[in-house]
Amino acid sequence: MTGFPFQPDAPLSAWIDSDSAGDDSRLRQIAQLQEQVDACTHDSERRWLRENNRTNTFSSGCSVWDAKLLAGGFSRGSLTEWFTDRPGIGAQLLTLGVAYRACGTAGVCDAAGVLVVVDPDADFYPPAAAAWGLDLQRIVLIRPSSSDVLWALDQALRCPAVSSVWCRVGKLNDRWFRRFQLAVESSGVFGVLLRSTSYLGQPSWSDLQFIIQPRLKPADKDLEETQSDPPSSYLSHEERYRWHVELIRCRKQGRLGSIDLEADEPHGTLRTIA
Amino acid sequence: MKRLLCVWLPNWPIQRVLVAQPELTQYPIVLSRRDPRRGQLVAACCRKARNQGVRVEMPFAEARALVQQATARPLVTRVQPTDKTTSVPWDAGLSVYDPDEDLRKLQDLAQHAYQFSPVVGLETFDSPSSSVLTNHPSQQPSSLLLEMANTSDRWGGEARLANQLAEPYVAEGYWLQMGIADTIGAAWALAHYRLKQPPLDTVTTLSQRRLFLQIARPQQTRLALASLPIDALRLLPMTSEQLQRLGIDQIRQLLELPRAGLATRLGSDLLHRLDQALGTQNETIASYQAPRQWTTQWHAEHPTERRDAIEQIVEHLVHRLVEMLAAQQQGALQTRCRLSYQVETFAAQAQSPAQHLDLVTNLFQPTTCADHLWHLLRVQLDATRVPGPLTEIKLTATATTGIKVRQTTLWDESPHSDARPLADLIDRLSNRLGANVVGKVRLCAEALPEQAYTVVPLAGPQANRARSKRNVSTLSPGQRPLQLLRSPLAIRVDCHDDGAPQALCIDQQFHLVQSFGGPERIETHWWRGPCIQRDYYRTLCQTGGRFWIYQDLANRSWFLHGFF
Repeated sequence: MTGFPFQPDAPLSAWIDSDSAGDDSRLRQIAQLQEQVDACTHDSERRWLRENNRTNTFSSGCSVWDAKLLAGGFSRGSLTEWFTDRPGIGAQLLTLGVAYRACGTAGVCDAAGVLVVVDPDADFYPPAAAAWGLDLQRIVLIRPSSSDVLWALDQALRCPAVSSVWCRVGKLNDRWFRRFQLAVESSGVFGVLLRSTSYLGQPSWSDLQFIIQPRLKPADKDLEETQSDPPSSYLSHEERYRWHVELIRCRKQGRLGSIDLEADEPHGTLRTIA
Repeated sequence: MKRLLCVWLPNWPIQRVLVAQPELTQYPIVLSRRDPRRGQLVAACCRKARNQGVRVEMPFAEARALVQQATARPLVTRVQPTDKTTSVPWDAGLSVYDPDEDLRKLQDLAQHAYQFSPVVGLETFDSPSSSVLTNHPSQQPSSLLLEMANTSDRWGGEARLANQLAEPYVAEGYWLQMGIADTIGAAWALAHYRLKQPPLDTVTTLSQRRLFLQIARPQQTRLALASLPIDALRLLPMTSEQLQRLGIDQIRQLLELPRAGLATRLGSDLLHRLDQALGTQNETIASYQAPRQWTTQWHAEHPTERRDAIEQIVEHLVHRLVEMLAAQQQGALQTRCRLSYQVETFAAQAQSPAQHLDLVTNLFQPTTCADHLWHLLRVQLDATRVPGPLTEIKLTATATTGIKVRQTTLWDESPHSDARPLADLIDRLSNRLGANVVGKVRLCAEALPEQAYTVVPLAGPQANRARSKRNVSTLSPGQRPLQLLRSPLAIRVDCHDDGAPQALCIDQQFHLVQSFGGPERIETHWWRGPCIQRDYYRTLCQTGGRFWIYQDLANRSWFLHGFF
């Protein structure tokens, strides 16, 4: 039987008719199982279609970036990994912003959702998030011990009342990763995992993988290894958060490629850099 | 004829602190409160602090300086939580006044007093002009009132009843003053003011360790009150001052004045209180009724250790409790399952003298779902090892609230419209990880970045009060890092001549500073103890990293405090 479980070649009722009466009960049982498998398959297909529907996607906040993602934005019910090789480049800001956009806006499209921040290191700083415009009333902060972090993350990812989950995670084994994938598929939660680039290349069950790097100006690159002039006294508007974001793995949701982004500090929005 | 007992706990906020933390007995204790206009003030202080010059209502900073001067210890001895070797610091007794906790504890004492009288209440402040001082310590109750006309005979007389009532309080460490009279006003006066020369035929006194009792004989109230000061009438401070200016110090003098002129010259409050004390105007006890607790329990005929049997019993109790709650349209917000067990060896007895374990379940929303409650309880039960065979299981709903019933629509498919899954998630997380682990954030107006927010638990009875608070940030985007290190990391910083950072060395990696913002001076309020002064810089390095660093102005050392 080729194509199982999506396209059975012939209905099993034909098999039943051709077999002896002694095997009827066994074949009937198989037929019932086949019907159950079909039902599950159709359910998953429907779910997949629903996930790719425009209503089940949300914008990244930048139309050019949305266009690079096949669904016209990020899909709910997907798991994303974001890799960064150094702290302090604003990767947390970018990823938290994307996760927060999954919550939607109250009164515009639907009721506002909840963002769960899983913070085992207890270093997430909410006043900074509030300054960037995140509504703290919509954030549930979980600070589990290191032994409970994966369990807490799994519980949050499988809760349908949650819109998105953000977590900085280290090592993940296959079992937990697969659980996370099934969890988001069943609940429709958008999962954001911020990880170190040292975990790149390991088996992954995420739908999208990004690498975030700071976008340095050419002049900066030249100066990187040399002694600089005395620094300017204040950060200027020219020195906004800028990232080079590269999509290195996608499962049905986008095209591999990269984009340069910039955070507009006064407005807390994203835009591309020409 | 009425007979009333008044139990006064002098300097109640200090007493409560001392009983809760007996190790503070040797230190001066000063409790502070915030006044909207005058800042931090002393709300209450103990005798040791008074001897050092501290007075109620004085600025807290002044009291702090007096205590520090008297103890003559350096300012920088505040104990760090991890430092177990350091002794208790000189400022251990300086704490914050907590009227809610005072009231709760007093209500516990009132609950205990119900075994002596059918009517027990807390003192009330019914004067209309006292409403402006609602939160003032002087307007917080510190006395209990009991009706004892029909119950004293059963206890062998009024004095014996008062003695037996006071016994557990005294054993716990409280000191009491009690008064018994025909009226609430007179009983209150005798409890709060001692007669210097009590008339033998009118007042009986009894003085023991931590207990002082004055009993006015029936129908002798007028004589008993005569030699007390006028403040014993519970007058307004303004009326009391007026009387003292007129040279009237004692109630006897007041009683000799013509009644007709008192109300017009000194206000109606004076006559009102005087009549209440003498019994010509009726006054009733505002009876205290403790919030109802729903409890269901099981006693073992034969103590058992069998896990399956215990689970079955607890599940049964959960269903019974939920039925009780549902009948009253109440939902459980917090439950306590007390497992009492038998201890067989002496060593085990010494290890665990309480002989019971409490499993507390906190919930995000009130529930009447037995399966949900049982599931949360079973998670805790599975992780608990009971040291001996169980003799009793008692399940109590320690916090409940009315449940909301909402009509649902047929086609309501919005994923966020039903809060039940979110409540289930919070309940699951809170009961496995701990109520304090799962919370919502509330911003605080504190200068120190690490104290600028608190995490409020989402589950449990305390969480409900905090749900409607709105967080508004006054910071601009990018002013603070999203990742703030729990402990600032000491780093090496090379500076220019003007003190601006030039290069950072973090974890043996060198970062050249391309530009920076700052310095932003952050310092703690001088009245909050040892002053912390830091100059913060937002630095952008040539590698693209943005770091939040500061220089501690006390020792000029540099620290990394966060990553943007």
